[in-house]
Amino acid sequence: MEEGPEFAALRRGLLELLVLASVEHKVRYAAEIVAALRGVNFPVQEGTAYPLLNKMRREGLVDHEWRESSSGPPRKYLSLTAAGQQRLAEYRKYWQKLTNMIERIGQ
Amino acid sequence: MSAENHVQMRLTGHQAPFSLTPAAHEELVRYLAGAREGLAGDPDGDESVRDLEASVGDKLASFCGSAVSEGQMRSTLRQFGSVVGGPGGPGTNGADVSAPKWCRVLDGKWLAGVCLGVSATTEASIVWVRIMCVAVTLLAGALLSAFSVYVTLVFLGLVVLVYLTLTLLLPPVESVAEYRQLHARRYSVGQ
Repeated sequence: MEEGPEFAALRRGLLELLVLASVEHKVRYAAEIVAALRGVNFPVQEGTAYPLLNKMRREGLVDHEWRESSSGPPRKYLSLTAAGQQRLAEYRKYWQKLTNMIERIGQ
Repeated sequence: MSAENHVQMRLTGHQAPFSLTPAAHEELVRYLAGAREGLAGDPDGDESVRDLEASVGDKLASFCGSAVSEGQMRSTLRQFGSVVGGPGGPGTNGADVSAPKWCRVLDGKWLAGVCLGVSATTEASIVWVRIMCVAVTLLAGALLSAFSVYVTLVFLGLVVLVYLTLTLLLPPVESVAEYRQLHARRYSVGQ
């Protein structure tokens, strides 16, 4: 999905929501999160995602756990904290509100 | 390329060093330095750079061959993209440093935009700046003609020379609006 720059601001706002959603049901490490987002056609780059992940950890939305890897260095697997779960629920609710707004405005 | 020409580089978390061509090594060093700079104001900046470094290592480990080439490094780093920090990141710091105080303004210029630049910096009206420039030049020329017409000609030549020098020295800015934007931070902090 290669949208034009006019969608860049909307995309930026969605990034945190999608990152939270990507670790809702299973733990993932940073590269897997980026791969998951690209997997659903959301364009994101490591250079943007990695600093955001650390910021979210600092804010207590995600937590990490080190796990050995068979092919390389140990990896930080991220999972949602209670605060992260709450934030994700709030984001979804807000997104719903925005969608309703878009539908109602023209009527 | 013989093996002696390869650079061995260690990346965070990876036990074995990576073998890179000198050009690929330079690309990676530059990328990581840019990342560090971009995250200078970020409390987790160092950690993010380490994470990126380890992840670059994962990608490089998947390449076969004796050493990572410049092309492989370029495409990997292009995929990673430039490193963007939170507030206090690169964009905000960079604007302050790169915003020139004196400049030429291109949008709405008559000659090279020197007067517009002066008007943008001093916040004086552009009409006033232009009138003053022309008036001072003509008045000085008229006064100097009391000595000799040649003195006036030399003076006018000097004025043209000064204008051309300013054209070369002053950095161009697209428009007055852009100039204000570049300096918005400075104004809000300084006043």
